[in-house]
Amino acid sequence: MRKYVIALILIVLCFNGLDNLRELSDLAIVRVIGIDYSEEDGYKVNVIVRDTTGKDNSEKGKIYEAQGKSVQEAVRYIVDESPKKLYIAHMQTLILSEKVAREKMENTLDFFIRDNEGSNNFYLFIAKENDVKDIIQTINEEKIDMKEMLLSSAKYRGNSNSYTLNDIIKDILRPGIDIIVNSCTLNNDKIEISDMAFFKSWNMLGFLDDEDSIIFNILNNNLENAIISVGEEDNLIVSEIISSKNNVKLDKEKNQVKMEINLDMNISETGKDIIIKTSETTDKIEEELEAEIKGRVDNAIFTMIDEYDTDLIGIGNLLYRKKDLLFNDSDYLKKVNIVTDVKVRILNQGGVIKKW
Amino acid sequence: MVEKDSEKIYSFGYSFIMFTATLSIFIGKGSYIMFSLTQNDTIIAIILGFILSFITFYIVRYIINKNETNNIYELNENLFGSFLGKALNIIMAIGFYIISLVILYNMADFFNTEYLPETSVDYLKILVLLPLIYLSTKNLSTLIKTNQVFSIVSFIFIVFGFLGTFQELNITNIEPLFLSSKTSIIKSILTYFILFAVPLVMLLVTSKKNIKDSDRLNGNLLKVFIFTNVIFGLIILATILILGREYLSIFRFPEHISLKQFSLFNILERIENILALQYYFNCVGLLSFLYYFLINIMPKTRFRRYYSVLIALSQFIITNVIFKNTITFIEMLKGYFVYSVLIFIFIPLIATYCRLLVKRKNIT
Repeated sequence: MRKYVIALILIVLCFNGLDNLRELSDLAIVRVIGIDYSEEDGYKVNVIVRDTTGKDNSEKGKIYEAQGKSVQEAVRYIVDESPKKLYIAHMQTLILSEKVAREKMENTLDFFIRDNEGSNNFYLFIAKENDVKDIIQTINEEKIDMKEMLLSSAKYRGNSNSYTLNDIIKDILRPGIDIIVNSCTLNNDKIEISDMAFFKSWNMLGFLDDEDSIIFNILNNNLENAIISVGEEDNLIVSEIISSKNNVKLDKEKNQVKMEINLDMNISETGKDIIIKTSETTDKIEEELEAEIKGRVDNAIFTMIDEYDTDLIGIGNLLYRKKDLLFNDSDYLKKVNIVTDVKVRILNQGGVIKKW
Repeated sequence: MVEKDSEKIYSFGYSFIMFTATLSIFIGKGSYIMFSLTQNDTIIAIILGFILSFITFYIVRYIINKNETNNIYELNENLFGSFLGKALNIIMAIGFYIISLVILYNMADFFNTEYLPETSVDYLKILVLLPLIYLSTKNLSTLIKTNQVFSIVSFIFIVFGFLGTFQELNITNIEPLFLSSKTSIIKSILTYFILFAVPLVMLLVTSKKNIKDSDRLNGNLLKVFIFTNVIFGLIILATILILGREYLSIFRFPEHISLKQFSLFNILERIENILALQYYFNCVGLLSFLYYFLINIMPKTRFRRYYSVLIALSQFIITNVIFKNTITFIEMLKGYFVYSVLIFIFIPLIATYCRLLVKRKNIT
């Protein structure tokens, strides 16, 4: 009996039916995918594939381009140019054109969610005011690591977040929250992280400005570091947010959402008239910063409700989680009373007592 | 084959049949049905289902303790007489057969969906069935020892896997609780309660006399029962906290997807692949016990050694005929699986218990 079973196992292994078997040398390892869409041509896909020939140690890869009626079709047609099938498990960046983001986001992302090889932990960008193809070419020519660039921007500038596709899909599927997605653009033929794109459900509506990008990151607890300035020239105070926390609470009786924003900041630069010697001065600066940031926050929320008509901070999701009936009202954003309270704590003045 | 149980079994290894069987019967099957019914309320259903399962646990423990010499088949024949006892055994065997069909197809479907989409499901089924035919040539003590090793390794990897996803746990994902209807929550609790009868019935594969340290049996059974429920509950809780109510609903194997978030210092990633292998071992472990049950009910002829091949072949053909594709399988899984377990496993178990209870009362 045993020998029959062993023989059977050997037969199965010899006539290997594992059709997914692919040697490493047969893989076209994808680094970046860019997707554009037009009514005439359908989906146009540009792909940067790692050069695994070993001739060049650089990060520069090969670019392939194809188009098709669906993302899958376009990606598969790349086989016409490349002898290897694309392997997207190690993909780091997906760049979508504005057209795709505005009209075809849901259909486009379906391909990536369904794909069994990847884990959807790559970063999504919207190509702001540029062709995806141009951005892909620049990334390849300049050997840019978009992931590193984004993470640095999120960490030191605060105008972007480190959300992966997984995080974005989770937020899209959550009731009562709309997403904000990073964008990139070409500025004098150089790639830069640009203003964040905001959505309503699956459709992009527009781009936030730089200041609002930071504010919404504070409100969504996504901010690691950012610079905030108050005053001008000789009265200028430049401070750096080193940690931020937004505690959002719902008061059902008052129909009120209260946001308590706590910011820890360091003074990093001052104008000549700003002399910090006493705790009263620090208190005064904290008050100035609180007023400034509260103004910006209130303005961003007002713009979000009245201009964008989208819920980028998840007020609806809070109502949904707390089972507030107001969530069922399509106009809940206008009916709920949003109160903000900003508390700034200056931890460090840079170790300098100005005497010059 | 199989009948020779001369080697003694230890109570700890024996109790761990529950652990392996629970993971195989729930992950991708029971949990999928429960997630479809109650999404994040599934954790409530598991807690209440666990409490309710103490009833089944008590019943099985009673049968084990009050019947020291017979396995479930022999006991049924003793209690109900030859004809009725055999009929009850055949009903249970049908249940074991259905469960093994579901596990076999589900496992092939899992590997096909998550790893080998271009490989034929038939080929994957053969890869599962071959080691099973081999395992069927082994005696019960070997199966139990193998199972114990699978369980311990599984446990280590599960703990390691979910610790690695710790930073991905988002406590707000548990809200809103009790959004599912009362009917759905009750259905989900009953699903857990009924399906948990399978791991417990697996314990009746042998009798207390074959267990070397039977004085420690009751304690070990209770410990492993609680441990199994807690571990499974934590797996489900982690899945909910990582994916959230809406995201977990779109996946066929949400537990596996949640592990894709695993990253330890950005060095060690994709541990879900190791756990998928553990899942394979768990399923093979449970299938080997189911095969043991099935072979033992068949007539003792000189062709007995080929029974496992016959069962494997029939399962290969029947899964092809019944489960035409994944969608058909999911429909049948959601529609009939729990009822099958209820009719073919749970009710016969209750019948055995009641009869044993009555008989013992009559004696006293």
